[in-house]
Amino acid sequence: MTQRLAATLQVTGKELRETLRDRQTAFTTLVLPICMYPVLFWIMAQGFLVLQGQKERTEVHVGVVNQGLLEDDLLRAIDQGPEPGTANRLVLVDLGFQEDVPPGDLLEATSGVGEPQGPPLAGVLSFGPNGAHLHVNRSEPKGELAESRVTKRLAQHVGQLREQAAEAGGHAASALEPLYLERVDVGPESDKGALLLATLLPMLLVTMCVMGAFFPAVDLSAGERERGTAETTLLLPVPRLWVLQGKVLAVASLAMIATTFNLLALGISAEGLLATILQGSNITINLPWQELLAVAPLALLFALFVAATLTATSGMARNFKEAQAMLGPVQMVFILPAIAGIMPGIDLTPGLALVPVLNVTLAAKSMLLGKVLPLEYALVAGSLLLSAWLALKFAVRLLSREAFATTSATISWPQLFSFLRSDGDASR
Amino acid sequence: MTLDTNTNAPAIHAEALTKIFSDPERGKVAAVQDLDLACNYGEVMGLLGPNGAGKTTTLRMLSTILAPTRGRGTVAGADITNDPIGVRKRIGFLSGTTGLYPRLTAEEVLQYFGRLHGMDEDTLGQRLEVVVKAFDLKDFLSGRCESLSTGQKQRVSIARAVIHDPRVLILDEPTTGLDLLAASDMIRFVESRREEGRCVLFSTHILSEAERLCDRIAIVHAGRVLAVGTQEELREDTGEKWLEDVFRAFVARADHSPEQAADQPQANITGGEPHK
Amino acid sequence: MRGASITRTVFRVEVVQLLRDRRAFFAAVLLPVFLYPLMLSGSDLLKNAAVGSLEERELTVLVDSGDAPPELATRLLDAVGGPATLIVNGDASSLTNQPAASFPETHRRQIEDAWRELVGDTAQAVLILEGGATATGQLRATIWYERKDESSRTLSGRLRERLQSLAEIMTVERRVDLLGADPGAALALEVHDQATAEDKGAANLARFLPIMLVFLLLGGGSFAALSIFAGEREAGTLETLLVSPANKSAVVLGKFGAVLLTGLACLVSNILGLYLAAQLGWEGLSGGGSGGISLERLAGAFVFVPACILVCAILCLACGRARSFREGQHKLLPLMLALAVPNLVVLAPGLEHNYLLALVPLTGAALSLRDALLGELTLGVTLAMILSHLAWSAFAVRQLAGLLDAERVLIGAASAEEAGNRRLASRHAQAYGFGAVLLMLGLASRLQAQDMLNGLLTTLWGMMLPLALVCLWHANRRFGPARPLDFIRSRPRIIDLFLAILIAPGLAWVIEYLVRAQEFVLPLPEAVTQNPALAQFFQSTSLGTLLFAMAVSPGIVEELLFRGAILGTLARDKKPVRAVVISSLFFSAAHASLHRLMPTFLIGSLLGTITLRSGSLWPAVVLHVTYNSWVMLLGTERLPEVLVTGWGQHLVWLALPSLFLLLRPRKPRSAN
Repeated sequence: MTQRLAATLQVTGKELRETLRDRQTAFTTLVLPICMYPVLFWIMAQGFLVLQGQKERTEVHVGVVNQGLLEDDLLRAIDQGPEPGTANRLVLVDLGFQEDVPPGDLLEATSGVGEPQGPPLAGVLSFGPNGAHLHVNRSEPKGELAESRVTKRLAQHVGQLREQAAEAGGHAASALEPLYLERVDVGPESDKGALLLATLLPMLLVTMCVMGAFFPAVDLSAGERERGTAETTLLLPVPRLWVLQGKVLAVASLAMIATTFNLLALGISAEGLLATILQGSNITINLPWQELLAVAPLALLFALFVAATLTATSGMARNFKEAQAMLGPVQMVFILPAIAGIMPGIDLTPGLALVPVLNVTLAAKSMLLGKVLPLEYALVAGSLLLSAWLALKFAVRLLSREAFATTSATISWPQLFSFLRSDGDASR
Repeated sequence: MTLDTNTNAPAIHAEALTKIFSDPERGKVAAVQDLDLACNYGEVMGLLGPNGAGKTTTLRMLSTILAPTRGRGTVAGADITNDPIGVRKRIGFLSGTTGLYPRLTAEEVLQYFGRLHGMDEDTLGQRLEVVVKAFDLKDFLSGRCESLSTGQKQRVSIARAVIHDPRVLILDEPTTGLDLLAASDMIRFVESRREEGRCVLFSTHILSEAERLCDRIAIVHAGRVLAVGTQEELREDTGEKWLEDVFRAFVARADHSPEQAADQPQANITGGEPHK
Repeated sequence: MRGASITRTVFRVEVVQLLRDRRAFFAAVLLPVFLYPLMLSGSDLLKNAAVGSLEERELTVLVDSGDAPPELATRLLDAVGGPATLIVNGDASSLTNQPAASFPETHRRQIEDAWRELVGDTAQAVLILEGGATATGQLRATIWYERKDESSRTLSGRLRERLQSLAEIMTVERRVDLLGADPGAALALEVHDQATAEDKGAANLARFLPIMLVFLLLGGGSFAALSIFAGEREAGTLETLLVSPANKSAVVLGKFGAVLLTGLACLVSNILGLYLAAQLGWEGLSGGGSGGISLERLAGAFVFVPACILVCAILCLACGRARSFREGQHKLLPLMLALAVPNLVVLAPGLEHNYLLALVPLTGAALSLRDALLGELTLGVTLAMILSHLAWSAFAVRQLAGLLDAERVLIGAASAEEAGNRRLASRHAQAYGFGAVLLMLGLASRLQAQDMLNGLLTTLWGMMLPLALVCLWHANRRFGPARPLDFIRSRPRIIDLFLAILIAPGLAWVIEYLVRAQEFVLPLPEAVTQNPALAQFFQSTSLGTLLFAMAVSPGIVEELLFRGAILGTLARDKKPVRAVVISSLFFSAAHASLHRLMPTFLIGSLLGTITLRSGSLWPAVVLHVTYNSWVMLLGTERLPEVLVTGWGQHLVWLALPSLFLLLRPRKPRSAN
């Protein structure tokens, strides 16, 4: 047993050293996450600022029917808004008396190509006995702006009117609101951010892990055939299962390293840079490091499972290129259930704990929220180990086949099935 | 782990070794069929044959890279079907395609194989010293394998194959792709192994190499052994003077009467029996 | 036309080769047709099931009616009780006895304990009613819940929804009661959405179509680009091609055409898959309403073709640089991310397309695509977009032709290494420059968001200064003692320092003018210009601290890093102009703001030029400190009146002659 462990670790050490000496792999595993997240978040934050600035400076023209009949106060409230300036401008265009034409038609008629002398209207505002009406096309960018600006300003104006009326009647402003609604969360403030992360992190964990295992897995199986060292490896004086164990362990370690680096970079850069976007929403994004540590063992098991599956699959390919083409769909097989797992309403149950990938997402989700479900977690761990072991067996059976050692061709499906039906000899 | 010390038993012994590949386009193809072979310690045996004759497949079966479809074989006392790991522990195998891990240094490759052969650090250190001296690796020991020249790579490969001091060496066309100097180094290496009483089985399609090195030659064609014997025996049998003509004569004989050749592959020769 | 025929030949050969790689072709081009319907309808099914199960989940709310009048409480409970919601009455005073709503974190434990004890497993939320006894009083309804628990969150959402609609009814009633008539009644706004079902569907589609198209192109085109460029280089067939007497750019064009064709084929098959998915009832495309988008509008999606061309050209460029298939493959993920980001613009609500945006690669095309789907394409902007994208593509293809330079391909390794050796120093400097930018983006913004003053000081003295010193030390060790240290060691002329001070007011005036001009194209949102936190910071911090943190520290540390270390090392093997431009790019990028990019770049260039011309770092340090102080004092209105409106305003004019004197060509000083 110790001999087996020693040999496995030997292989792992060698593979890790070899893989990390490859510039591209090292770059994708270590450097890319550190550069990618800050830059990505920075671009998002800056883009948000630029777009926000552009939006605020966009002038919106709104046609008003029967403008002459309206009170000056009202007009001023809508025209200038609470804070006059260059931002959020709403220009009112007097459409005169339009008794016969429905306001909706006015919008159609004047927006777009018509009305050569004026700018196109984003909305048409009309006042009648049964309230104010705003006709806009919400699908158009300016329609949306017109709606939000008119609604906001009108509501403010109406609020003022009511307050004045209440004051005149000797009532407090709060009296106008008979039912005051408040929601209190018993959890700490940080739960807000934690919840946001708890819904996203499990998926991110799975995705990062699969992505991190991808290149090493290809490199250590198909890549070896491409480099012409497959035969050398087959000559190692230890059972092939041990060699493969070592390789899978190496891939899993690399996946874990990549995941850790990703999380670190994400955690460090997210808060500062996303603050611009989340301004005012009172949400802080702090990675829950303690909870993440609790998830770590689970992540390790999952990494083993992913490594075994990807190594086995890419072992079928002749070279890097084909392995790539094969692993694309396999990757989706991992990532889609992960996306499903973060949907609301799906909880970890003993039954779901047996479904690979989905179980990891769900278990990570409940772990991040601090739920204690010993039975389910044990089931998840067990099923992960079992599936990792099965994938390993599958890989050994596949890789110990002579065709993989000798032919330079990719294995065809019929061939694959015939191999699987026949008895594999892992002891070789 | 105990080495078979009974030197009277043949180093390599194969009986009715057969390998059938299933090819999606051509159906079942017998790469090697009913091959018998025996090879002793202190002997250099050459497999001579054209490309596609089944030489590589034979050597791969003997070194347990491939599993035989039928037949039995023992190498250095270990059965190739039942104890493949025992075989791999006792042989050194080298071919044109046994690449070195490009991103490891020469030293790391040697250490890796040494450790997996179960050597402790002391033994490994001693063996490293020996092979570094023997193959003159000192200058590029810490260079990555991808940066070595072809000749240097070849020397590291040989060192890799003998790091555990195997008693049986199986070499698959070891001089292919080597320049003149490197090839002659290789030949000298094989000769030195013979002096030390090891068994060397190697395949080649270069007649001069076979002529110079081999104690015995097995002529392989289309997956069968056509003849086995010393160079003199083969010449006598065919009455030809040059090895090239001897080879042609056997191939012609086999093609002329395929039935006969199939039934009695080693018709006139002492055949599978070990030669003393 | 010789070139055209070469292009055609290459194109045909490449396409035939691609088609023969059946497995890859199948995976890239045909698989999506089946995959999409499966994937999308599957995820839809799952989502509906999940949402449905949440809606139907039977949940219990514990209600403490307190002193609320019974008839009011009954009305409330009637509203609350509804499908899948049970009500239990109880006493929740243990919760209300705790410090209220915005309680400090220290009381969290108590609250959580009280909550656990109260609800246990029996209820998922607590509703507490208070007040409402008098006719004009206010009834306070507080919903207690636990956010991280899914059931509790769902129930609180349900409660809020139901209570809110009740609140609206009650508010209207109360207005009539108190005010007689509602003064706002005549102004009650009703919004009529004129958008047709088609518009809605189109708007929906426009939100994800651009990003999806780019991903599909990259996914499908990558296999072609990789085998045509990287794969060919690996197989050594590129050599054969380049020694043939064919025109290089014609060859490149042919190859590019093959990639483009594959990308477009892949696009078509994917869209077919999407269409199938829609037929199978996937809701995303129909916009919730019936009808869907007319073919005319869908045809408008052709405005995205220039972007497709650009994406394929960029893809070829990335793969053409790769030496092997593997290397090319590693570039795809970063490329995908990089190309997705400009398309995110379509997610911004209410953003109008304009000429400026039209020039931005991919962003312009994405917005045009949106407008096309909405049926609002404007001719001018669209033309600008098409022209700019074609120009970008042409630029990329030209670069591509340069990459396939025979010498680089054939003698690749040796000459590349040689060239690399020559530019080691500038690569060293650039690595540190990137490091500085990453530190600023990743860590510094986080630190400064937490605590402006300490964050700033930590960034400068704790991160930038060590980085500068390490860079200098490292460069010194690698390349031997030389220029960067000379900048710092050499004693400046006193007159230079004095001149540097005189430039500051003029520089501030010019930069302010430029920033104002920039507002026209790149307006800052009000959240930034009128940031109360920042104003508060300036007001509450003493002048000395401000000067130290915002003028002296950056002046010294930034100059040491960007001019001393980076520019000094760059200047070893780059021409002065290039060295200044590159170091200024890092300087401006490190300021981590798009709006400050232009001004900081200009200032950086000026400081770099001054450093190189005067042969010393210290004039630049002095100018940087003076400039920062001047701008800060001016901005916080602490500059003496006489300097703003008095004789001080004429200081501006001193900048030009000072600058001229400082930058005049002169002999390099000997190393005394």
